[in-house]
Amino acid sequence: MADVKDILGMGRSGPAQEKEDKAPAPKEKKEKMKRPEGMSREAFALLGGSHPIISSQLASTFSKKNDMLKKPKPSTKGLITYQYRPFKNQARTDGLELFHWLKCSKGANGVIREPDDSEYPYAKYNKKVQLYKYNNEEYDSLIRPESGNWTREETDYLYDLCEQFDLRWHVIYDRYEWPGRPSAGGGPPVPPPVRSLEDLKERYYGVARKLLVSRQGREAAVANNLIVKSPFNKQVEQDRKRALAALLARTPQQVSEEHAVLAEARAIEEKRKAEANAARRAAAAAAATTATATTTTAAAAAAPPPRTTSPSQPGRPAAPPGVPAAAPAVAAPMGAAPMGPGAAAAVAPRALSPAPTMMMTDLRHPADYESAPPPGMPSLFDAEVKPFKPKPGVYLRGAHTQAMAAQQAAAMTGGSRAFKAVEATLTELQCPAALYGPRVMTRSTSGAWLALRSEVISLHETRRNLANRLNADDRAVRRPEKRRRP
Amino acid sequence: MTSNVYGGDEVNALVLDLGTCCCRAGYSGDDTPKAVFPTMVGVHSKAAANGKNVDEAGASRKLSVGYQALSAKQLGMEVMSPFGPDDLYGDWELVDAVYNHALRDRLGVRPEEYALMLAEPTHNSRASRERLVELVFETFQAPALFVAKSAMLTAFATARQTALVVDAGYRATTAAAVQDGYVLRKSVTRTPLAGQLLNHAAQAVADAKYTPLRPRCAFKRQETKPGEFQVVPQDMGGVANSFRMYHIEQVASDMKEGVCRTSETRLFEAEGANPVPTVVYELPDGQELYLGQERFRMAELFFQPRVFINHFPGLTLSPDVRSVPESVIDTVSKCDVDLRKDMYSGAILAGGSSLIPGFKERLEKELSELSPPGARVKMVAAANQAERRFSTWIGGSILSSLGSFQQLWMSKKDYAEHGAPLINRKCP
Repeated sequence: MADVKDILGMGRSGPAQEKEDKAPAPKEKKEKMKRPEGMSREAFALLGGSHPIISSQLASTFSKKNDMLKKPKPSTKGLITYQYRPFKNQARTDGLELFHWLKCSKGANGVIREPDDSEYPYAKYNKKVQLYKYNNEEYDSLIRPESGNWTREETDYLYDLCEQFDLRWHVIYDRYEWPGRPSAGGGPPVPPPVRSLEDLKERYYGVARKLLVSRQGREAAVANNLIVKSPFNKQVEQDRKRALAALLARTPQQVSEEHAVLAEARAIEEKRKAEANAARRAAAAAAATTATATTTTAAAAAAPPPRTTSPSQPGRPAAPPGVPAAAPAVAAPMGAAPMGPGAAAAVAPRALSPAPTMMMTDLRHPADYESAPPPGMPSLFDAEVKPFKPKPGVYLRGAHTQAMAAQQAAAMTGGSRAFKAVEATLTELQCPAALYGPRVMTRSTSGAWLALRSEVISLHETRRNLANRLNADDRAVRRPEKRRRP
Repeated sequence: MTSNVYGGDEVNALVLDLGTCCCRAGYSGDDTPKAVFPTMVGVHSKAAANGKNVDEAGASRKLSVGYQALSAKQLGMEVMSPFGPDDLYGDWELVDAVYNHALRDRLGVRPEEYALMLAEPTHNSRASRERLVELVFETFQAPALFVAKSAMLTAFATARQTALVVDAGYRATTAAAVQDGYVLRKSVTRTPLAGQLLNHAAQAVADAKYTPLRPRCAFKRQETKPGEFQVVPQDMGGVANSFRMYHIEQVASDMKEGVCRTSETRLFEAEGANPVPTVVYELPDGQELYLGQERFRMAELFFQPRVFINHFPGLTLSPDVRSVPESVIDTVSKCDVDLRKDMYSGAILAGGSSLIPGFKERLEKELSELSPPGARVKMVAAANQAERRFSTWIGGSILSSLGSFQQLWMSKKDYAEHGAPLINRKCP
């Protein structure tokens, strides 16, 4: 009753209320769009009726050929009629005749059926699985001796089910109801041993294997057949199922524990690899540096503590420990990376402990830029802080350096969001802002400024790459199997 | 061949699905059944009217089926269901009457011209099936027959061969695993938490809070003034008790359908726990019921039966009844380990009782909590109301109109040669 009132739009408060106007307000006529020529009515209805634009793509499909208003050309076969005819199905053995509609054509004098009506087209889908069935002699000679507690009748019953269900094991196991053989003394039938799914499979595949081998004569001929190549192993199946059950039952805590363990294992692997690399490079560098003992490398090697911030020189911390060039940074616990810029900002001239194996040769930029370049070396720097010879003309160092800084920022992957993090780090380090640069633009200051920016940018990039790699690895560990089904 | 498109071939077949609440009948290849009517049969026992011994009168019962037969007040007519206490076919005369009504009265066909696709209860027994086959071939003389379990047909209706089918019906909610197109019989579980229980719960709510529900035929509404009605009670003497109960249940069923909601989270028993806006439901005799928390408590019976049964005086459940999510988990646990993951990720929800708003989401949530952590639970339910109620019938229609199915019918000749037990081979 309540629904009826809702439909009628009546209020619930009392029976004395007059019936409201039943019909809803008539819909305003929506502006109708004219159906374009050549488009069928149904197709236009699908559009929804209020499309302002029909793309030219769609319009090109309207063809004049399917103009249904014209008189249909007389087909060579005659008029088309549908006839309700009985049909036989070749896949059936009992000759059942059911009726269905056939498309026939009516010639001048009568109806002619579809030419290929002799065979029911779906009869060919009646496919059966190929079973390896034994006959009596084979059973007695080959199979009976090793049957265990399987009787002939039970094996026959199993084969019957296999044939009926096309070797669908789960269904066979579900419908398996062997009543048990009658006992010798005529008493109640002996109850059969309870058969598990693996028992049934074992019996079938064992018999099939023996039959195959014996029928072909030699092992080699049938070695390719799957049944022979990998025989059914009941123990393996049972273990696998137990493992699968355990896998399903894992709680999220266990799963995350696994991930953590795997991540740690990976980190240890990396550390070992990096140490091996570093050792190799140390050997190579030692060979190289003995030849060229420059003051800069010596000076740099002797000054691991960061140069503290003297206002004239923009604080350029030597080797923030996060400088990514060397993998040893990764070996440091991850917590050290965010500590890096913070540590650099700290004034104390203590040794940068977390990366003792850092090589000075790994530094990208020299510790100093010479204000008076040697003859032949250009005075300006490009975005990679290499000496850069511009086209002949007049340049202002400050403006050029700003442009290079902008280039560095633009070249960074990750866009403006990532660059914000870079800017934050730079502000922390009290680096002159990008807008102004160092107050006095000399070669050394501009070079040092660009070098600092580029190092901080690469620090952030590497940190992001590392995080991505760990995430991807985590995901790979969590879902190692790809989806098999589309 | 008219068209080999999609492998379909519409033959002259009918699909009949006799459910515990209503019977659905129609032509194979259609997308909804043409005839839907209640399964209950009105039984006039002539002997009782004449005062004779009831036992003798077994043959002289007058049976009437259908909405019209059941709605008008008739003296001495009992309303009985063809289903027995175990929800299998109990009274074969009534089954015959229902099928007869469907075929001759509603569809208007001659059964000997049409192959029959029948849907049987998922937990049907072997003896019951064979009896059904005999009924069809002897009484109706159909040329061909196929008997399929409801769960299998529901899976086909959603185009799947492997699925976990949860059918929330009238007398029971059945959960069954279908693998490769065959129902795994050992995995079928049933709980009595279903539409009939909810009807009784609704009736208990109305009885307890307001006045006892009355069947529609127990009163007349006379218009005293324009718009105002007066309720005049009618004489109900001579009306059988089952008839009265049936009609009261219809009122309760309408109330349940209008008012029930499933709560998104577990409900707590405390009275004033969750404030809920009340809704007004008007009974046929003009009375208005204000229902608030009761709406959620009724549906909560599906999920916490042992706790909430106490809210409904007069209702009883056996103490070891399993809630719907628990029985679904039981079904999957009875399957082989290899199948479980697929079952969880391909669950189908069907049945009229699943149309309670919020039922599917709540069931999915509960299943995710109860299922093993490694399994992902995904439940599919048709959005269309007709598709959910008739999913078994639709599956039967699809199956019987497939070209490659036509070789699977059991024909009259097979029956004549091998007898009824052949059905177990032909329709496993």
